[in-house]
Amino acid sequence: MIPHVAEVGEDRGRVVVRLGAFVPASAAAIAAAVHVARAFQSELEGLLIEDPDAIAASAHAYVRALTPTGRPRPTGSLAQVEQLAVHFGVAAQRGLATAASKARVKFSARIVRDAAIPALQAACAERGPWNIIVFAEPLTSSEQSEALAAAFAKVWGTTAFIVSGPRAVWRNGPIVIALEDVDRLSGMLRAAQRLAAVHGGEVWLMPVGDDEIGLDWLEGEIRLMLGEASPVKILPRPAVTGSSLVLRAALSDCAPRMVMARYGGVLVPMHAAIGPLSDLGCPAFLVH
Amino acid sequence: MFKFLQRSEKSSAPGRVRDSGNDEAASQVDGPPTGTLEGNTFEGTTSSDFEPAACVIGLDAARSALARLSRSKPSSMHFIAAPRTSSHAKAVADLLAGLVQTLNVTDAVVLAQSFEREGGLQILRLPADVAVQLSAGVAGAIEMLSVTLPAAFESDSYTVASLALEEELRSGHDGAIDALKRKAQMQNIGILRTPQGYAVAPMHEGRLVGADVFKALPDGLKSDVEAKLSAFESDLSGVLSQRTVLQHEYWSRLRDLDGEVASLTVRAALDQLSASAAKVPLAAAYLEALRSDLTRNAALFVAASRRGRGRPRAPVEIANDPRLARYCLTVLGSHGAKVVVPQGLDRADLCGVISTGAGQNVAPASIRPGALLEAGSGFVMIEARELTAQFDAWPLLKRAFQSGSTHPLESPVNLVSKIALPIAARLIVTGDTEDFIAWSQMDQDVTRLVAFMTAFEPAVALSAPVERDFAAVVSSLVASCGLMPLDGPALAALMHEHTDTTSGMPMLSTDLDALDEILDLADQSAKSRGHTVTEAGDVLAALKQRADGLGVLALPSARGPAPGRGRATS
Repeated sequence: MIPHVAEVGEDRGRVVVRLGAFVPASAAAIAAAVHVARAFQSELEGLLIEDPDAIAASAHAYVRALTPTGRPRPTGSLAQVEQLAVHFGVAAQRGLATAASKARVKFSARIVRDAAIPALQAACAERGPWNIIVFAEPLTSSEQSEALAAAFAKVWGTTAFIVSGPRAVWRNGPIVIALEDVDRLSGMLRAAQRLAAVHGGEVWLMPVGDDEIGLDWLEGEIRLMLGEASPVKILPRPAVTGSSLVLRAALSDCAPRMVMARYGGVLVPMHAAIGPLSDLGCPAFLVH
Repeated sequence: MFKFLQRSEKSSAPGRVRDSGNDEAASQVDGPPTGTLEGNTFEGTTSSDFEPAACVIGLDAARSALARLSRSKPSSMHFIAAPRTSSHAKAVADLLAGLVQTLNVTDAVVLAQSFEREGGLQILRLPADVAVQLSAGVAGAIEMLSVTLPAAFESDSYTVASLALEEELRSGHDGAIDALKRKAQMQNIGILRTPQGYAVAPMHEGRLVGADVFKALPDGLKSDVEAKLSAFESDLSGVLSQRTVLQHEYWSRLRDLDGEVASLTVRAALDQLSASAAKVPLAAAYLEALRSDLTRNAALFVAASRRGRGRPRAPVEIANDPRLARYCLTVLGSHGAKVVVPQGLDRADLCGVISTGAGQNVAPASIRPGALLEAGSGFVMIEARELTAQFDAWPLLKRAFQSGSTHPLESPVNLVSKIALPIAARLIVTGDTEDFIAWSQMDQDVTRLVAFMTAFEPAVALSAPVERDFAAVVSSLVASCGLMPLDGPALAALMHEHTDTTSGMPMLSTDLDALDEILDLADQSAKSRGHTVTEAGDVLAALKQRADGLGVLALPSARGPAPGRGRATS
């Protein structure tokens, strides 16, 4: 599938920023969302998904409540908890709205109280199929990586997901494509070039694979397709092939603005996204 | 004006003449002074036969008189009596410039940032060569560290070590919560983020158990769930409260790692300098404090490098970086000793100015040493008349030279604590006897504190050497002004004009400031009469013309001021 977002007015998609309940958003993820919306001349929607269980739990007497530092505290009234949830939602949306406004990107906000996956499914089904979902909350737990895997499997009407690790930073660097198969080259390259064009940056490409022979072939194909005069810089392959760790270190050395890769591949294996994302140090643009 | 006198007899020998064939005359040069006017000194000679010399009479005597200054103590005060003419002022300055080489040079003063007291200064008295080496060495080390410290903190080994620590913290906390969540999930307990923190709640098929369902649970099951809730609440509480401990431990270990990296890098930059300064305890102590401060504040260098996005910084950029100003050393008096004539007698001119920036750090450019510090162990030369004219200058100088220290002005006031910089200079006040009397009448302490010495008398008894000195002065002026030479009678006439016999003994005035004016007029007269040398008649005509006041008007158009006769400077 070609990574793409519908333009403003097409009504066939937008950049959906999934704002987590009661977890602060990653600045790098917000910057990446705004950047993608600018690149595709699309719009941005802040989708705050409140966990109904988390709100209800705060009001039940049999539930054990703890402060962020671990001290027991009495549960509050439902109205009180809902009020706090509204405050959090407003603050989270305001941060995103400010960033969108600075970049002159059209912005809309929505708050839904549902489980994460159904809420995303509904949002993308409503206007699709050219959506990109950005997880504003940095991925730090296995629960979140499972949520990402579930989103890839169950949310239709999306062409890509953008996720960030806890150490992700938005910086001035190239857009780096970690390419594992030549079939995805033209789609990823087109998207990367649009992303790079926003800041006049470069697109770098790193062939990624499990074995030397496969990599030789892949690199040959890439050079054949790009031709001599291509402005895309082809990075040398890492010294050790097939190692996700070595690959991530090599990518991190490029100090990229964003890394574009296939979800479930060598770089970001399925169900194990936390470690790889932490190492990259930048948001990851993950395609199907 | 002195009266023109007649020559008495022909006895004296000619002066120190240029003509090597005049051996007989030369042999008589060192004869005893007669104390009378001896016109024969100039007989058969012209001014060009005499070696041009300084434009003062009695230079050798002055040199002997001032030689005592070479044994003077630092911070001592002296009055040198001499006629108040520019030529005498220059001669005194020249003599002092010669003497300054013979003085014992005291230690240089090094101003450095006090690392113990923020914004404070410390003063180090170090041998001049050590002070200069220390200052240059520290500047070089800072320049080097501006490259090596950021490089050390960006090295692979540091990055790996710090990432490992960070990952340990993250996995220590997030991982523990994650594991606890998984464990709870297997027992149908949910650990949820709420707006106020966390909640531990019973779950069924991934959803919260409602209040009515929970109430309807059999007692046994309910108590079983409550026991699980309590257990997970306790576990979660432990994990959450442990976060602060983990964070503290992380920062502590990161600080140790940073300290280790910085210490190694700083040591490498300072080792050579420390070794060379090991024999000077003050310098060694400063370097040790510097090493410790640099290690503690290594982040300054890393931040500066990041701001510059890793591009190399020019040495001048590093030297002018206000954040690194705390490592700049200012060396005063490293040149040893010199003669300094203050540009003015304000406190700033004499004592200097220390300016402080926003960061309260003292940068070299913000310290302007005054004359007292600039002179090092040398001489600060001030004219008595200037001193008495400026009301507050003498009390300031008196206090400074009595205490042996000076307080530079501080700007803005109160940012830096008052500091007293030691001074080793000698104060030299020049003027004639009347000036000294006027000065001592202003303050009775003057006669007690200031040593009086005479360099040049206002008039000296005529003798053969004095006559030769006079001729040498004339020769010098004639040569420097491009005039025609004077013949012997003209020289004699000129000397007579400056000689006084009213006391019975012919006395030659040492104030020869009018000489160039008379020579100029005489030269004009000689040229108008078609003479090849200036004769006595020309001199007499010049004297008459000057007396009539015509010469004063004629002078400026004839020629500018004679070279080398301006105000004496260092």
